[in-house]
Amino acid sequence: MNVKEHLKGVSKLFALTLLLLTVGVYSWAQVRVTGKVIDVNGQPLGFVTVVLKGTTTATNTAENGTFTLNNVPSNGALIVSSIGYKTIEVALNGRAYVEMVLEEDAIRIDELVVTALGISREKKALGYAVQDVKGDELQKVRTSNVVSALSGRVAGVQISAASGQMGGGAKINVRGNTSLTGNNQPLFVVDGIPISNADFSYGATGGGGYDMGNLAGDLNPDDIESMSVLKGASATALYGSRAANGVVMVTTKKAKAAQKTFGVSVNSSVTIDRAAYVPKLQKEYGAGYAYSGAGTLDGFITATIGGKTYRTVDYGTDESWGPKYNASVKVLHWNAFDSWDTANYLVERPWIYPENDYMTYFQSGVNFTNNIQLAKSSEVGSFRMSYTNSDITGITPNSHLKRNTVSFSGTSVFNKYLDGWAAMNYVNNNTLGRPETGYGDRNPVQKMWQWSQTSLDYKALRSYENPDGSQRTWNRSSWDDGTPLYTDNPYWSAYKNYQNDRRNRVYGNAGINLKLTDWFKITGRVGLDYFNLSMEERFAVGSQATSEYYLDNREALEVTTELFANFNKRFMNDKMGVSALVGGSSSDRKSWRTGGITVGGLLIPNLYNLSNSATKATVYDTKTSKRINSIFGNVTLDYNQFVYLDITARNDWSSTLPASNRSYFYPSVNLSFVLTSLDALKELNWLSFAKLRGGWAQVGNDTDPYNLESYYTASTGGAFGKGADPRYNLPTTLANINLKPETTKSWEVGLEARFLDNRVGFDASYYQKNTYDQIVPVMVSGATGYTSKYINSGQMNNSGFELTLNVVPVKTTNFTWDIQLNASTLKNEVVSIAEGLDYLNLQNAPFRVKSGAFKGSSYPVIYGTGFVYDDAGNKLINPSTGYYAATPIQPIGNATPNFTAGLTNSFSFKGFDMSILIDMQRGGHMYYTSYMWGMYSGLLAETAIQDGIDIRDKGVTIDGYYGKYDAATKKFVYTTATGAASTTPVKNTSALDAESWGVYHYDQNDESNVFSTDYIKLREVRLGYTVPSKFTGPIKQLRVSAFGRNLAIFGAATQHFDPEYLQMAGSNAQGIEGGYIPSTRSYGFSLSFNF
Amino acid sequence: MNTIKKLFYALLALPILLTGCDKNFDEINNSPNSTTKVPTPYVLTYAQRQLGYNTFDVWNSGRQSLLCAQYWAQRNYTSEDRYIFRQGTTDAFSRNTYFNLQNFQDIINLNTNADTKAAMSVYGDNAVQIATSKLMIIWAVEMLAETFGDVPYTEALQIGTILQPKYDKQSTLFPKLLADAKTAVDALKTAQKGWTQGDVMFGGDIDKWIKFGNSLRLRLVVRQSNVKSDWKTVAKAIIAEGVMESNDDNAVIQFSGPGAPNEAPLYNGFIVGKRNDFTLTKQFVGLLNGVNDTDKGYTNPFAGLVDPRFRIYIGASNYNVGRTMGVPYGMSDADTKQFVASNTAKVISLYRLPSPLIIQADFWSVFIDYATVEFMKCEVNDWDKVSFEAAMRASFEQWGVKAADEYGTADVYNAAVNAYITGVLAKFDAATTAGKQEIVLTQKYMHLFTQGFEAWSEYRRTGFPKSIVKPGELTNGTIAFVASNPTGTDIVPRLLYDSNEYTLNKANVEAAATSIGGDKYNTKLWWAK
Repeated sequence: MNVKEHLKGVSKLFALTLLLLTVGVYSWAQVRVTGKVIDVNGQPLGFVTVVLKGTTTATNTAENGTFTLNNVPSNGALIVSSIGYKTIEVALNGRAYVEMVLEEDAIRIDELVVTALGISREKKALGYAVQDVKGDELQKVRTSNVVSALSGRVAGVQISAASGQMGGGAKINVRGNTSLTGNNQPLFVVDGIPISNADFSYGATGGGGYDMGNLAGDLNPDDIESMSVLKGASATALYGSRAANGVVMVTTKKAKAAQKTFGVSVNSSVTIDRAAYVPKLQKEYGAGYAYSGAGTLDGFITATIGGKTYRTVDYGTDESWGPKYNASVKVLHWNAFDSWDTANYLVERPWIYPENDYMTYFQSGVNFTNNIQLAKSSEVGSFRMSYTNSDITGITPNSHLKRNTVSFSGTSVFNKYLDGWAAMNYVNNNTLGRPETGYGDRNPVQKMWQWSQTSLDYKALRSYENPDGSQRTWNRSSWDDGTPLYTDNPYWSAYKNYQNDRRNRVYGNAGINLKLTDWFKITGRVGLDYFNLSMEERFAVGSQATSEYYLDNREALEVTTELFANFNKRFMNDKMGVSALVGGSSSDRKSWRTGGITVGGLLIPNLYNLSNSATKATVYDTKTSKRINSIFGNVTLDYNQFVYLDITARNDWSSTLPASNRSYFYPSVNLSFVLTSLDALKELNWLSFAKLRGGWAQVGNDTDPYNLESYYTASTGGAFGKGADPRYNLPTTLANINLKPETTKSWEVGLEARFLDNRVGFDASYYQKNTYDQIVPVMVSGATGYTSKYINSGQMNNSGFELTLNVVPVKTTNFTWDIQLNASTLKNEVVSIAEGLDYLNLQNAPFRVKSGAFKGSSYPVIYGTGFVYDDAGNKLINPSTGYYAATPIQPIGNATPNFTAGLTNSFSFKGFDMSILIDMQRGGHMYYTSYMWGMYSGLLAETAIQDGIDIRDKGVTIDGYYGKYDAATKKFVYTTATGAASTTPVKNTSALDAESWGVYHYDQNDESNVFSTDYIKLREVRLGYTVPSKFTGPIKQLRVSAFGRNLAIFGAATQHFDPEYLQMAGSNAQGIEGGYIPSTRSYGFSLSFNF
Repeated sequence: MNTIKKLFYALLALPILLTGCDKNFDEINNSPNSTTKVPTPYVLTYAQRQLGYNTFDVWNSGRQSLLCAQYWAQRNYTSEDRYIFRQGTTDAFSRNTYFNLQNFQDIINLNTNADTKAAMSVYGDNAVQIATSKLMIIWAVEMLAETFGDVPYTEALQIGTILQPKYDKQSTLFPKLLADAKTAVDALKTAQKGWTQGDVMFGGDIDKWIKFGNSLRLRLVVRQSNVKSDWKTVAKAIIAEGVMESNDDNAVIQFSGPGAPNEAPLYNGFIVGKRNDFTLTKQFVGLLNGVNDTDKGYTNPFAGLVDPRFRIYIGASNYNVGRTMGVPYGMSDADTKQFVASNTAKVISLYRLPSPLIIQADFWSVFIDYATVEFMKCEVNDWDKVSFEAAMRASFEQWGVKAADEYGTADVYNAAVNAYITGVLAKFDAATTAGKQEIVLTQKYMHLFTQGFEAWSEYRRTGFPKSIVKPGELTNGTIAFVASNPTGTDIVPRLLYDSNEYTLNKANVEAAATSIGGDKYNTKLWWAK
């Protein structure tokens, strides 16, 4: 028998089985029942499921809400259900026509949630925690990155945004970090198919770089129906490797079944962003140092020009320890030396704090977003189209982001067995002028509060170009030489040294369902995610740095093919339910990257092309490819909808692992009891619903491509010397041919209950998650010749409580008050790293500290020199400097908060609705490089005035006792003021001069620059009004609203920084600020309507 | 039904595509455009150039050894001048040197491993590749040992078996380096085929490698002059084996012009990086110009003689416009800024165009040069005048390759050189033995400009030149050099160990710290005076 015949045989057998299974024999008095389903407003509801209780006999209502069921026993009952409505049961009592009213379900007990592989499940059947956020929550208040909109809305999820800049990234962690060096963010899945959340930002610990935003930011809130966060490994076991850190399941909008007429909806909004939470600079002292002696006058260095001696502002020094402001002293500022500038040339001006200080630089960011959606559905299919345009200007000059999103989805019912769908999204981002962040030459704020002069007038700086096109900066080489010394004019950086990027992305999926019976279905689908990204960076000719052009092109493609069969049936008089799934998938991921950088400057100014390089441009070219094949299965059994048992199993084969270790299996098992299904509890009127659940799972994880063998690198710049000798070098990370997969094991228990007719409810979970055999490029002694070596090692444990609490204190016909609280704790511990190794470095900050994993501590830690304390907790002071003594390098702060919470109060009164979201975090820390340099260079407020006292006059006497760290005993010892050993504590009484005190923040004690990142934030306030349809004619759902985000911070540890913000989202190396763009406060208005 | 049948076949076929769940996986996990195998000459070129570039760049030399040796000072922020070194720079210097040495070790491994040695012998005898790579490793390890003290050598560069290498004690490390250098030289003496390509230092010339090896051995012996009583005997034997004989034998990496990787490291720092951070110290300028330092109370042994190299070191762009003033070493930021601002037209600016020789893109990096060898021979032979003159002439020849740029013609330079040498030799002849020692070692310092590590080591070994301003001494008028990290009454004797070692190789670095007398800035090294 050849294959074709064989298949034919199989198909015959299959058809026969089908026939046998679908034929039912009925013995009741059979009648024909017709009816209609309407909503509370009397509108007909189409596509509502009507099931004859206890059978598989079912139908859907037509567009006009009507239905017909044949052969119905006259004493039977109908169960009527539709997503978004309360399910009802109606006894026929002999009627042949029934009209049934469905109420919208406010708190849905039988809520359907989208779980792994995009399958909708009843929430009560789940043995693990899932929490979802509805799309309209995301649309009502605009954020430029949809991930940050989840902040405070889901227990166990931490969101941190990377600074307040246009198009910036947002980091999401579900139940903490699990991997020492791998990706710790959840997998984003759209309609069952994974999409990339890659982040091509660089400079995470504050070396110069750009925040490119994470790619999940491409998700368009207007196209999102809901986002579910699958938290535990049990929930995500079916997704395998990449879901070890949880899954964010995004369900996109489809044409609603009830959308029987062609519908259009429009949503427009405008948001204004203002720089908020900006470091406070001192206003008493100006540029440079206070000089004395020959060639100086009143603290200023003098210049003799044309026979006259002038006091000059110290243009050569990017610090502010200079003379005190004094309006009666006249000086030449930096712009008084250019003879072409007749308005300012040799014009002496009073020595005062500038009228237009650094805040002048920041402008209002404006975000206009307009969306239009068209949708229609019928019995044979549906379609939906949506177009969104966002036009965003940032808070820094010359910054602009334009985003267009087109989304299409269609479904088609081919016949009673077969339906299919296709959904495609196209996103186009065009960005110009993302500000550089971190310690880079183009970062405006590095030149504003790390190294600068308080005396600069930013209105004067706006004239950044000389008539000949060269740069005009305040940081002159000498009074008669205007070439930049260290620092470019920030406006020059913005208008001449800008970056730009564009990204085109297509993602979507298509598939078919073959419904062989109403309890057996086969689904096949293909998903793809493709993007190309082109980034350009430049230094113009005339900048302080050598002119340069950098071009980076990336391309990535991910294709996922899946086939699975679904079996769903109830047995034993409906008491026993079986739902099973078995299938396989293959995922291919490829990436390409090419680009280059000019060398030695640009030949022709303002021509940005790699071929315009003074000497041969450096180029690079990399390709990667990875495949994971999988088979998976899932069985859910329930007894009488009381006990649910859910078992999953998956086996992956990953191309990135060696042949002997590339296959890995992982199972999960979950059990839940719906207590309110027990007769004893059914009687309790006050208890609406209660469920106890528990689960255990194991998930494996692979590695990146090409970590098994060491590849030589073609050395940057190519051949050397006159002989053009080729150069290749070894990598500094040693590959390992014996890698095996990582393993995460987790368990969780939970209790969910609702009381008083669902007016009060909670959902509590406790989980534990341990990751073993991590694939780590573990750092090794430099003397081995390598930085690191790939090994399997290390263990990280996470555990925590999560609580979601819902209360509806008031509910009347016209007024509802709804409270939702989400809170979670996180206990994270790096249990081990590798034998003999206590610390694993993730990244160095550009100057002092590092971010890494430390054995026994939460992940990651800030690693640097700390305060030395005596037994009573007093800080000890080094007698030879008069500043705090320091320990050797050690953990000096946890980057990850261990408690987060969000509280939403929502009110609705007739057409008005209002919601207030407050969120908070505790237990994290940040090292602020901006604080270190801001203190060093005399810029920050406290370098001049503290508690109303001018410390530049009086000095600073820090509180503590003389002493030091004793390396031998690893403890403190007291000393006297002269450094001699002392048995008793001697209190510090000598004052440090302000400048020494400021400067000591740099190299004496790193912990001086570490602050807690605790905060309580007024995250969001929203007020809306939906105009009743009787006033709006053909227009429906006309809604106007106003909102504000990030409105106030309470409890911040310093006045200078927004504690929420990160340097960069797409990195594990956290806890180090390096000059980030200030965060923003946003206000917006929106208008939406349908017709 | 027909549609369904078709579809059903299609669906059934899909899982079949998945059978053989790891089909082609080895191929998929094989990078399509990078390689695991390269010819050893490519690695050699990389490693030689990298060692010559990194060691002498504005970070590792510029902000460390050239400051320690007081050739130059920072014009603005003087933290490192005052011994607030950036630990990150020091860490990277130590680590990057070892990372680079791993490439030499890779050449050794490829020429030792039975699977690869035959293939690699196409590029030169296995023994030659091994010996030459070993000599480069020895050169670099000596530099590290003279920067830090005890350093890993015996157990270094063996990641397959040793993740935490022990530190070799200085008193056993130097003899071991010496013995290994001898083994390498002996191997070269019997070799047939040198490097066929890729050797950018000696072009595959085995004789030059032998002379380099012996000169390196000589230097290792001379460095131990304070701690080995028989050093002269040993040194003489090595000299007899054949050391460098002319500037043709110099072990240098010659850079060739703008653009990576061909441009010289200081060119990259000043011109590409556009940073005018450093200028010659007042002390070094005074030494070159034959003037005494009245602030410190220093009497110049060459009083009245102007070194013809001065114009070459600062360039015509400074010299011709009277920018000949150095910056006093070791002042605070504010004092330095004030000094530079109030002498804005007089202070030497190495940044000015046309660039001085040392800032040019085709400058060179020196591992060991012939002049140094002659200075050592002079010392070994009790201040031998012939070697001393040869050393000076070699230096002037080396520094004078572009003398026409500064002097108009090479003849003018040569005349100035002859006059200067005559003047120096007259002072030499008139001097006592101690005076001769000072004259020779001070000349050696004046020659070693840009070779910061070597000059810093020689100062620590000999205490010359005496023009070096020590902490506490006056550097400018009444302003003293105050070291922010105290080093006692002398200049900084070492840098701190790679701080990563305290987490990655804790037991061994702590043992080394104890062994040398503490991982501190003021710990003197074993061979230093």
